[in-house]
Amino acid sequence: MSAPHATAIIEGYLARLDLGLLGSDPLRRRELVEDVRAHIAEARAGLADETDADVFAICDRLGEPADLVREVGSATAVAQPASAPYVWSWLEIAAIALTVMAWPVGAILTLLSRVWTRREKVIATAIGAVTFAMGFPLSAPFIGPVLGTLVPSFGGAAPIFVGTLGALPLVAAAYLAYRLTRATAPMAQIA
Amino acid sequence: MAVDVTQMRKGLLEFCVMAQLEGEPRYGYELVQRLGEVDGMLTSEGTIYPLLARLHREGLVAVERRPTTSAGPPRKYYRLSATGHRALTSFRREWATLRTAIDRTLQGGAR
Repeated sequence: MSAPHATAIIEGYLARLDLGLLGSDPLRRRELVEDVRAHIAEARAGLADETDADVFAICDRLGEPADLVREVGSATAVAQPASAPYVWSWLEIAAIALTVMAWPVGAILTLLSRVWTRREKVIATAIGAVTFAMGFPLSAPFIGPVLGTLVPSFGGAAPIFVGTLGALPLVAAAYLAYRLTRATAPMAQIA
Repeated sequence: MAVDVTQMRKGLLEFCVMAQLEGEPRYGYELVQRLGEVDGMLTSEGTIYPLLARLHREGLVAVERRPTTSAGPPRKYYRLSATGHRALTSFRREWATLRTAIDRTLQGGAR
């Protein structure tokens, strides 16, 4: 049986790899992504009942996409410079957007990113998880404020409270975006 | 002081890969598993794929696709080419000479 978030984890990893290969030969780029995809499929085939942790472990053993990208650039086995500072990419943009629109996927992409620190990931995931755990639908930020206006009969601060809970993923996304602009250089600087 | 042998291993990895392909063609994941049995040989499994692609471009290995027994897509098998065989033979000779010389030097320095 597939892990619940296997597709998101794998596609997130491959997206980081593909993005890192921007500017390299298109054939080599496609070939490497497909080789790695086949590797992941082979590794998963050997698992009887995989979990998300198993899929994460497969990606971990493959190594950071940046390491693979660096290997592509080394025509010969010569010393390469140490890891360049990581810059944000579409993965981080998708993580922020999906934190608002589909929290579980956004949370996974956030965890996959190398930009945010562990502490930032925990804070953002915890903020978004509150709304999700309260049983709000995935589109909580949009529905939350609506619910907030529908429950004025509760009296007191109830409408504000309900609306605020629904909007927490927005807070998480804003926090991630804020930390992103503070901690890293933008993607445009790669070129 | 810890000795960083990463670059040394990296330089030797391609010959270890070629040696694994000497007897019979193998697919990428199979190669990774075999090399993974050697402690410290493969620090990141994924880095073998850019290496295999380079060996292919340089004509040291050939690639063929074979259907799998399962319903999955065909597997990509790598085999050592004639050029690869010559390169590996040459490396083995050089390696034997170099290893002996380094062993002597290291032992001589300790006296």
